[in-house]
Amino acid sequence: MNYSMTSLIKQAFQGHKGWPVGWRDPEPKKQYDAIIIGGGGHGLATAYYLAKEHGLTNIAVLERGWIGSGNVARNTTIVRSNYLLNNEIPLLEWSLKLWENLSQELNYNVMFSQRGVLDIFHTNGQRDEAVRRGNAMIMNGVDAVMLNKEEVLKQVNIIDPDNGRYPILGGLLQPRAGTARHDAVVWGYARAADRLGVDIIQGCEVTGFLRDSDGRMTGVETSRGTINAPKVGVAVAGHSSQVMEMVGIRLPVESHKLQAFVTESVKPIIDTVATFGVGHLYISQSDKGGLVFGGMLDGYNSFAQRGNLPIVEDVAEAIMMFLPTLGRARLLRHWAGVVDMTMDGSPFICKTPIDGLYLNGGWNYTGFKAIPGAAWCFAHTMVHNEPHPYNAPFDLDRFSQGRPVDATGGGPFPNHH
Amino acid sequence: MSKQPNRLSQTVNECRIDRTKPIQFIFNGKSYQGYQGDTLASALLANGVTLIARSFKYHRPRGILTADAHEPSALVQLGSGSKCEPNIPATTIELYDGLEARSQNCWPSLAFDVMSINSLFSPIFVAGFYYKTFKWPAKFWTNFYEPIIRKAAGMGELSGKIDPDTYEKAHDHCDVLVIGGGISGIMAAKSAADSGAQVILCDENPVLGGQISDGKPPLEEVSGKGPLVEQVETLLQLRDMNNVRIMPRSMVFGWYDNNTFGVIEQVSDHLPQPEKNQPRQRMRKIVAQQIILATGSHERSLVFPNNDRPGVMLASAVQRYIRQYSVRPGQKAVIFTNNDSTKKLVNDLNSAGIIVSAYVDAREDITSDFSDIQCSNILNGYVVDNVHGGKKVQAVTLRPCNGGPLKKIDCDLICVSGGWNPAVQLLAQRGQKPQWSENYQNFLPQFSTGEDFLCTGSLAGLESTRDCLDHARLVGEIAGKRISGNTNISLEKLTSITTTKELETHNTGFFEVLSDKGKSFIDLQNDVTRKDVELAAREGYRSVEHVKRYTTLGMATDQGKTSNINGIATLSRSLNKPISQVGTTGFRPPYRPVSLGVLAGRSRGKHWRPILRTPLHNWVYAQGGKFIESGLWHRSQYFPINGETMAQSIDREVRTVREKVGFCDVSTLGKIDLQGPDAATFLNRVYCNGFAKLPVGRSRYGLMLREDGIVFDDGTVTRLDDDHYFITTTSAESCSIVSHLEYCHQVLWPELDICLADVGEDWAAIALAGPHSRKVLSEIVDNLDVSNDTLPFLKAVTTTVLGGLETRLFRISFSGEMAYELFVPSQHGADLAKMLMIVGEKYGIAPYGVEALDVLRIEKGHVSSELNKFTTASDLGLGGMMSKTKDYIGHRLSQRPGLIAPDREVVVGLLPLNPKHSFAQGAHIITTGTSATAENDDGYITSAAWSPTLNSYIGIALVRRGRERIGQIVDIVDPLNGKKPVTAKIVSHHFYDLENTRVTA
Amino acid sequence: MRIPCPLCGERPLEEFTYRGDAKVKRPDHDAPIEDWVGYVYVRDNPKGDHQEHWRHSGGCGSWLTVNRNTVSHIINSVEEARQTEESRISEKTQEKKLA
Repeated sequence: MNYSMTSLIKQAFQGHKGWPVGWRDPEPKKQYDAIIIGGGGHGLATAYYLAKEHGLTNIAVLERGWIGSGNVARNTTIVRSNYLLNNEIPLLEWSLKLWENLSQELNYNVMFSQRGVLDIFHTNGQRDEAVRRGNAMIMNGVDAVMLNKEEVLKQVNIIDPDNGRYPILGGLLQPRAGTARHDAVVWGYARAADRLGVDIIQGCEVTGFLRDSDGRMTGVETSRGTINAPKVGVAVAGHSSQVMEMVGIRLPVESHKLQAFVTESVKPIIDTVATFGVGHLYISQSDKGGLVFGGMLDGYNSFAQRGNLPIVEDVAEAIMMFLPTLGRARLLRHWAGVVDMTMDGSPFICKTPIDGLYLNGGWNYTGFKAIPGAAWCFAHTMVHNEPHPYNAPFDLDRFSQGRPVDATGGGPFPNHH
Repeated sequence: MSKQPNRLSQTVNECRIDRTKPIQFIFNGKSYQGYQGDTLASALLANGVTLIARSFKYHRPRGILTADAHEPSALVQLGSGSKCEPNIPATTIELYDGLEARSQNCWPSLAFDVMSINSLFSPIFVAGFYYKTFKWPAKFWTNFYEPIIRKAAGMGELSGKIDPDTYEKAHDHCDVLVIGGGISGIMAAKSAADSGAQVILCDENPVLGGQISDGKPPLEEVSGKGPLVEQVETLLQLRDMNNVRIMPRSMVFGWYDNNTFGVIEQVSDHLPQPEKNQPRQRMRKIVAQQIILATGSHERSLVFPNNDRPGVMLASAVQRYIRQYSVRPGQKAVIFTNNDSTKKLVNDLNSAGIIVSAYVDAREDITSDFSDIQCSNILNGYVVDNVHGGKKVQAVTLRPCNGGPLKKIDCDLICVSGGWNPAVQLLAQRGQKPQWSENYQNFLPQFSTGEDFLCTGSLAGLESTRDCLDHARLVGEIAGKRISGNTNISLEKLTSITTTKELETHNTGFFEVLSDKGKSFIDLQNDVTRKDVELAAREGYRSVEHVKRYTTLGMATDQGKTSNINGIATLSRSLNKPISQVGTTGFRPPYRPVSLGVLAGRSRGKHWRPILRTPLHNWVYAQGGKFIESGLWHRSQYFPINGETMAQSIDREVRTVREKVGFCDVSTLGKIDLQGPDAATFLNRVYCNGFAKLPVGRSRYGLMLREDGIVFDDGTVTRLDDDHYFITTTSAESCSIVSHLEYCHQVLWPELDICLADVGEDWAAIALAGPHSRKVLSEIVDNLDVSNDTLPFLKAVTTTVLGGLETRLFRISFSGEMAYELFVPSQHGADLAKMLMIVGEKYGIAPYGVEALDVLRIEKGHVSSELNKFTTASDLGLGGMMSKTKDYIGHRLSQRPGLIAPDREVVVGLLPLNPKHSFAQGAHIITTGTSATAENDDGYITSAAWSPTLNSYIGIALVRRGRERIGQIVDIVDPLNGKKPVTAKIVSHHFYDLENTRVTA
Repeated sequence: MRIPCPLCGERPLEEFTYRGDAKVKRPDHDAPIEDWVGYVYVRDNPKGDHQEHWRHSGGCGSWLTVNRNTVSHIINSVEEARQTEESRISEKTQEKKLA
């Protein structure tokens, strides 16, 4: 059944008894044309694009827990393509373009809200970087607007402009960027993929890989039995090292935790996504009214989905530096996601040394916004056995080749990105 | 002024209020009276005010459900002006004189709320309705639908004004931290303290004692000397013990790694104004060795039609309002329960003069003894089928579970109990998964003891007072023994109490009335109904996490404390799966919402991070110098005189250096002292250029790479003595270089006999530059020949100036002029600056700031902002420095194909064809005549300045294949700033004195 | 989190900075380039016990070898990284002698 105002009203009269399940709960088959490991945003979207763009419908998504239980449900929901490097912008911009029609395409309102992302800068050095980046964006066909101090204060009118430790010099705005409802993205892709015949199998943990005598991928062992497939895509960011280790591939990845925060619901007070160049703060307000914000990594390898106090205090301090108007807003909840941090801060969407095994991971802070674009490219890569130009820079060889995609210049230290 | 119609005459139990201290307060513009010790909720009830708020989605009228901090319904907007605070539970607000509060999320008034029209559309506004619609046309979501939804959502309002209050932080340590000051917590604290341990006892309430509340036991126990009386005595003793700190109004919000606890103390929230020198709130970080959790349990409600109407209250809340505040929450009550904890309530209601119209117990086949209940209308096996009344309960319809006629009974108060949920939240923060207990019909801790923690009281599943006290006493003893080093203590006795415990409530697991007579709420604040959960389950949202996210169940300000279990029960029934398999969602910190202000403490505004000031700071200030942010530093930016603009000042400063002499505060440079016989070997390994042969008394420019071959930092190394070197680093990287060098020494090459120390703060540094710099220098040195022969370029000496001031004097130039760097002990930096001004006056000396410094180095072609973490030595034109004969950090990986590719962006200079055409750092480079697209992007400007020396704008850029393109014409484009392309010629980035004659003069 | 610094005692997380995998070993200069790439880029990333380098940057400045569980964050042992390396070197010498 299509979702629409009409069907909603119709169902209202029937006590909503007639809605079908969003997706089936099938038993795994013995054989698929392709398997995606990981029922998060990337995994489900990849399955959707494999079916939608490439006509592969005999595919399964294997999820250890419940779909959307990883970082897609734990992030601060920001979607943007305001990147610096010419080899990273096209992927993110393509993703943003897909976001712009995603609700219609999936027949599921993912609440993509183009309320703008404003990167506020405080020093001349940051301004120079913003100029470089804004120009790179425009040269790549991405929207970018330079705001002066007054314009920044108009856009975010709760900033205390004169009493911060650092001044407000201006900001780089991407008007088309914004936020989306993270869970809806999972459910929307799951439902759309299911409607194209994809089997979404929850509670199915992959415990090993199967390969033939030539080393080619032939399937996986799971907690629910052996499942065969000639192509296997891994999309388990946060745990990429663990899964890839099963086939003996060591990744240039450290798993770190990134905290996120939400306050109680309050009436609208900030209408855009604002980031601050000192204090590492990014903040927006959800449709429900909660102020959603985040900061830096906790900074050490961790698989605990819980944070520690220093970062909690850090983000609160950054808020009270620039937005002392929020002093009486109350933190409702803070949590952490386990993210794959790579050695250049950029992801992997690529083939692996093993025939038939593909990797989508290493998402650092970037995973959520990239879901449509990266999954689209990943599906392309799995089908054609070679990358699309958008994802070609994001291979595993780039470190040995000396071609890192390192927009912050942090180098091979994940907690510097 | 209304008197308090529902305040009872003084009762024996009354303990929270002080009738001698009446307090005036305002709610929704109307003035009321309460007493000291009242909460806003108890005071409003005393005044007969039961309609307090409107709900989130449907704007239904709501009253007071609980007497606790996790009140989901009665949230108000507290205070006014800049102190206005949203979403505060009326049950937590301690009354003070002049308190002002109002209802939120309603317009134009609480009684008549236009948005309650939402209720009419509630058949459409089911769980997740917004996912199914508002999709067309695409642009309408952001611009039309969403703004409406945002405006409607959001509960209370922030003031939009700067929070005027202050907050602070404190660090505390203790042996035993007891969380929860109810009877169990008090007993445990006492017995732990008896062993000599340092104990902290935290409780979120203003008074300790849980049920016994500030030392006044319930009536029925005073005469009998019951266990609670004993407990009062314990509390009194505890207060006198030196090794115990009792912290009331202190809520433990988070349990972090290694037993670090976040605690918020509400220092002044109960006062009209904070007392002098007191913050509004204080955050404590308490580190404890042993933790005793006595967090108690929360009563839960039942799910039945219209169970949200004002007048529906938790049974325990009714009891507390009567007992502790002498408040009568209604006139005519119906009790609706599924357990025996409500039995004593009947006596309380009777004593308060409240008619008990019916005692409705949903349990059908129980052997419970009702004979001790003073109620003539006991209906077991009945449920509440519907609640009548809109803004106030007027009646209930009762239905026998096994069929039969309905009964309608008038009442204005429904006392509900659905059982008790142990407060497992803190344990769950540590990753424990609470386990469903069929016996007790609640989630109990997965582990109630661990190496460093012990649970007691109702959290440990205990129900009787006697069991709690025995258990808590034992728990305190064990904690005390562990502190004294006894790690191997048998927990057998503890276990025996929990296994033989006395059961009092006899909950049989009844959660919901399956009646369709009206909305049955599970999460009152978020308006999540039983049907929403059923719909979610039907649509395939089967994980408890999916249901939470799809329906927003448990995401309100109480974080599910009042709603989770009932939601899980409904889901369990919908999925036909036992609760133990459905499980519960995770609990995250904070335990209760915490203001952002207190989490920041004093680190706000200008005090976010310390400002680093150089030793010359005050001198610069006195000179009228301007400052600029540079990392944490405030550096001198420029020194305007006679009303100069910034640009005029910079031009003059540059010309002064080029033509006469200037000096600049460079104290922010990183400075490292390196000593030891292997120091030269060490330097040789950390710099890409050679240091093995640097003679004593010489400085050398050094370039450090990261191990991945990218340039890390540059600076100078001076050999002061055979085994003694002095290293400078850039200001920006000073900390990371120290850390890096320490790593190289301690981890990579511990066998090298060296020692290094960060001496950055020990030395003030001044660069003295310009054609007259030698003359100025000669006038301040004590006994030193400063001629070019004895002090040539890159010569370094340790000497004295100004009559005995220890100085490290290096002939180094960043400006391109004859120049010296003088390092003097920090405390004498300003003296040196003052003296330079005096002796240099006749040579036309002037101080210059970092702006002029930057212009000078750009003219000279020294790289600085080009060390931007993207560039290799070769990109910077410094490839020749990379030694081919040694191993050093970064050597091998700098040879990877991508880092030596011919099409890399490398350093070049740019001269605009029209010298007056300016361009910005960050502008990009394209071949003239092409369009500004990514394909044509040839690089970007890294440094740009007006050069008074060349009388032209100049720039340094990183340009693809730049060195091959010297002489070519390109366009500098800056579409972001809407600027016209500037046509420029690619030149060498050394614009000035290419022969280096001036620095060596 | 709190780390017991062998020189300063147990101190809070805020005083320490993290570097990462302590098992990486800088290759010999003439080792194959793959070894160098592995050294700089590829890390142990276990879900469980992890040997890692921290610096007590807000204290004594020592580099420390910390054995910490990446799930529970429990710290099992801490020693000065210098000592870890020195014992590694002496073990190597010992092996050579035996060989």
